[in-house]
Amino acid sequence: MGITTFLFAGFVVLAAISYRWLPQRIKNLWLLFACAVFIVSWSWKFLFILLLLAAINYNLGKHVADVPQGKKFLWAGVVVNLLALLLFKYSNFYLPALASLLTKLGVRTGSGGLQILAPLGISFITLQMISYLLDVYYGRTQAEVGFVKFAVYVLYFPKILAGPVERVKIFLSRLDSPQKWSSESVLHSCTLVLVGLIRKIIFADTLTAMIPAQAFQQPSQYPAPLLAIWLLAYAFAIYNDFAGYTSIVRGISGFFGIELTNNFNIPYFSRSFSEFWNRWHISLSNWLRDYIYFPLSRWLRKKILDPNHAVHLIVPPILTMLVSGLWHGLGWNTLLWGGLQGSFIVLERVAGLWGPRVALTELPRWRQVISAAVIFFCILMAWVPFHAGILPAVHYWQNLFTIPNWRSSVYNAYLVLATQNEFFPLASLRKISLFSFFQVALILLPALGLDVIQYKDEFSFRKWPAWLQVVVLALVMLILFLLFFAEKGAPFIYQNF
Amino acid sequence: MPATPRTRALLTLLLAAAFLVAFFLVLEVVARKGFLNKISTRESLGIYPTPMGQYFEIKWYGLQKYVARNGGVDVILIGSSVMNTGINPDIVAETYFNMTGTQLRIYNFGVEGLNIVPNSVYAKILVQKYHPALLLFGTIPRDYLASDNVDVNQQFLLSPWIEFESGEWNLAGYLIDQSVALNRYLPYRNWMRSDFLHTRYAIDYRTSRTSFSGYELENNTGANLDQPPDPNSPDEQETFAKYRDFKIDQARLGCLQSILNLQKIGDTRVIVMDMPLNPTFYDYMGGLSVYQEYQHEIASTVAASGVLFFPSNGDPQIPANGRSDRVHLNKVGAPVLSAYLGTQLAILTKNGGTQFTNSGQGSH
Repeated sequence: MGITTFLFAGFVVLAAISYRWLPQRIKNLWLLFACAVFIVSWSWKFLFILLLLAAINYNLGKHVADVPQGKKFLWAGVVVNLLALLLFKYSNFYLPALASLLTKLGVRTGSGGLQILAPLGISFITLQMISYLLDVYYGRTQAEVGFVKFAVYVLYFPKILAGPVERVKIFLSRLDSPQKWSSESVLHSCTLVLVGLIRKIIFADTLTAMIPAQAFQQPSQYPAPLLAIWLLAYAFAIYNDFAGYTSIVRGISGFFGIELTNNFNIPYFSRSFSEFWNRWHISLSNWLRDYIYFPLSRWLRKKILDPNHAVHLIVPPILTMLVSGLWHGLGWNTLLWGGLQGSFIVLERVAGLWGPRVALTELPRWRQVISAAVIFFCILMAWVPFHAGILPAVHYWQNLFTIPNWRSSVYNAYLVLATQNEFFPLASLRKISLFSFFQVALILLPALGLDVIQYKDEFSFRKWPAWLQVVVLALVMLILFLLFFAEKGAPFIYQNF
Repeated sequence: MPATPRTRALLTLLLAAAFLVAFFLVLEVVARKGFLNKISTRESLGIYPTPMGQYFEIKWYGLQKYVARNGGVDVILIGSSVMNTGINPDIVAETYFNMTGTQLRIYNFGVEGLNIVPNSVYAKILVQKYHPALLLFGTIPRDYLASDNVDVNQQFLLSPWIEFESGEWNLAGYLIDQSVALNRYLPYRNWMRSDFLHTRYAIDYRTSRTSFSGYELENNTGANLDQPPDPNSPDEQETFAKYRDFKIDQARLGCLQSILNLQKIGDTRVIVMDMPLNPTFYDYMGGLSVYQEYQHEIASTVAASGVLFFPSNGDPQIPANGRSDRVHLNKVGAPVLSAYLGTQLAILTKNGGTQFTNSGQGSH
C-alpha cells in the first residue's frame, strides 16, 4: 500500500476517524492494529520481523537502566540492531559470496539464488532503537513499561517507510496526549499532505522522469550542458521526493493528533554546510550529531587536551559524515559522498579560523547569496557519486568540466548518436536537446518558487487572498489530474535507504 | 457572521473544484467543435506501455478512419509485429477480388510488441465494436512462451481504457472513452519523460509508414538467414535461451481459446494462421520436430473449437530476400504471403460458399 494511492487515503481516513472516537485507553491498541494492517499490506513477514525487533529492544530497554549490568545490555542491544541492519539492509553485499560458498560446498540455493527481503524502514527503525537504548542508559528517558505503546513507537505507520527518526521521549509524550481534533488542525494536516503531493508527484516524479536512465551511468554519451541540467534535476528530484514524503506523513500523522518532526527546511538556500545539515534530513542529522558527533568530540577532548588541535577539527565531522554515507548504503560511492560532505564541513571550519565569527543572518546580502551559491554547487557535485557510483561519477565530473563538451558541435554529435538516424528529421535534432532544458525549467522554476514561498513561513500561502488560493488550488488539482495519466510514478527514493 | 477556518477551507476547495469543472467543460466544448484541430490533430487513449501502447493507437485510430471511409470492415487481421509487417490487406483483397469478384474490406491490426495476451483482449473489443465477418489471428511460437513480454502485457492490460473496454468500469477509462478533450491531451501526457520527443518522432514515422489498411512496410532484408543460428554467437544466445526446452504455456493457450471463442459472438468467423517462419528458426526451439509438435497442439486446440487453421507447411514459398529476420517478412515476402492468404480465402468462398463480407454497419 503506497502512501500516494487512493487505497492508502481510504485506510488513513478510516483509521484516523476510528482513532479519534475510541476511548484513550484503547487508542494505542487501535493504532498498533492499524500499523500492523499497513505493514501486512506489504508483507506479513515484515510485521513478524519488526515485532520481534521491537520485543527484543523493549526487553533490553528494561535492563539497560540497571546498574551495573546495564552496559552489557546496552551493548547487546546496539549489536543486535546493527546486526539486523547488516543482515537485512546490506544483504546484497554478502549474499552473492555466501551463495558462491554454498555452491562450492554442494548446497543448492534454488533458482532465484539467496534472497533476504529487507523489512520496511529497517534502517530508520534501528536508529530509533539504538537511540532509545542509549537514552535509557544515560537516564535521558525512562524505559517504556507498556509494550503496546513501545510497539507503536517502533511501527507507527506514517513514519515507518522513511522516518523521520523520532526520539522515544518526544514521540511517546505526543502519543500520550494527542492534539485535539479541530478544523484548524485538520486544515493544517490537509495543507501538509497537499504540499507533499505537489513536491512528490508534480516536482520529484516529473524531474526524475526527465533524466535518461543512462545519463549517470554513461555520461560520456552526453554533452556537458545536458549533464548539468540533469544533475540539477536530480538534486531537486531527490530533495522534493524526500521533503514531499515528510510533508505527507506529517499531515497524515496530524490526522491522529501526533506531530512528527519536520525533516526539511528549504536546505538548498543554506549559506553554510552546517546550516545545510540543520535543514536537510534534520532528524537524521540530529541523530548523527547526538549519538556520534558529540560523543566522539567529547571522547577526543579527553584524549587530546589542546582544543585547537587539528584532530578536533577534522575527525568528528569526517567520521560522522562517513557513517551517514554508510547508513545510506554500503558502497564506495556513498562513502565518497559522506567523505565529501565531511570534508566540506572541515574546510568551512578551517576557513572560519580566519576572521571574526559572524552570524549568517548578519552577513551582507551579497555574501549570503554567494555563500548559498557555493554551498549549493558543492552539494550538487556531491550528489553525483551518491547517485552514480565512483567510476561513472568521475566520468560525469570529467565530462562536466571539460570545456569542449560545452560546444554545440559535441551537442549535435550526441544527438546523431542518440537518435539512431532513421526516423528523425534533421531539423528536429536541436529541438530534442532544447526540449530537455525546457522540461527541466518548467518544473524547476515552480519548485524554486515553492521554496521561496516556504522559506520564511511554511504556511505563508494560507495568508494569500482567497481568490488566489482558489486559482492555485484549481491549478494544482488540474496538474495532478493530468499527471495521473502519465506513464511514470516511482516509490519514494528514501524508502530504499 | 465571520467564516470559520473550516468553512473558508471548504469554500476554497469547492470553488477550486467548480473552477476546474467549468474549465473542463469549456475545453470539452472547444475540442468537440474542432477548434483544437488547429493546434494538433493527435489523439490518444492513454494506453501503456511506451511505445507499444502508441503502436496500438496507430492501428486503433487507423481502423476508425478506415471504417469511416469504407462504411465498415469485413476482415480484421490481428497479431504481433509478424502480422503488422507480414500481410498487406490490399494485396489480399485484390487477390480475393480477382478470384471471386467480391471486394473485401480488410484491415491489418497487427501491433508490434503485443503478443497473444493483449491480442486476446483487444480482439474482443474489436469484434464487439466492428462485428467483422472474419477475424484472422496470425500466431507464432513466441506467443506461447510464458516468459514473453510479461511486463508489457501487464501494463497493457492495466491501461484504464483497456480495463474499461473489457468491462471493468473505472473513472479514468470512462473519461478517456467519453472526453474528446482528454483524447487530445493524452498524446502529450508523457511530456516529462526523457524519451518523449524521441518517441513522438518515432510514432510519427511509424504512422507515415503504415498504409491506410494498416500494413506497415518493412524495408530491411536479413542477411545469411539460410544459415542456421550459431548457439555460440553472443547475438544469438538470448534467443536460444528463450526457446530452450520450448513448452506451450497453458495460460497462453487460454488466451488462444479466448480468441477462438469470439466465433460465438454474432456472425464473426475466426481463422488462426500459423505465420511462416524461416526454417532455420526451428533450431532455436530444438529442431523441426519440436516445431511440428507445437504446431500439432495449436492445430488440435483450434480444431476442437470448430475454427479453421491455416498451417504453414512450406506454403507459400517466401523468397530468400523476403525476410527481415528469421521471423518477420519484409516488403518482398509480405506480398507473397498476402497473395497466398487471399487465394486461401477465395478458395473457401468458391468451394464452401463461405462469405467474408460484413452485411452490418461494422461499427458500434
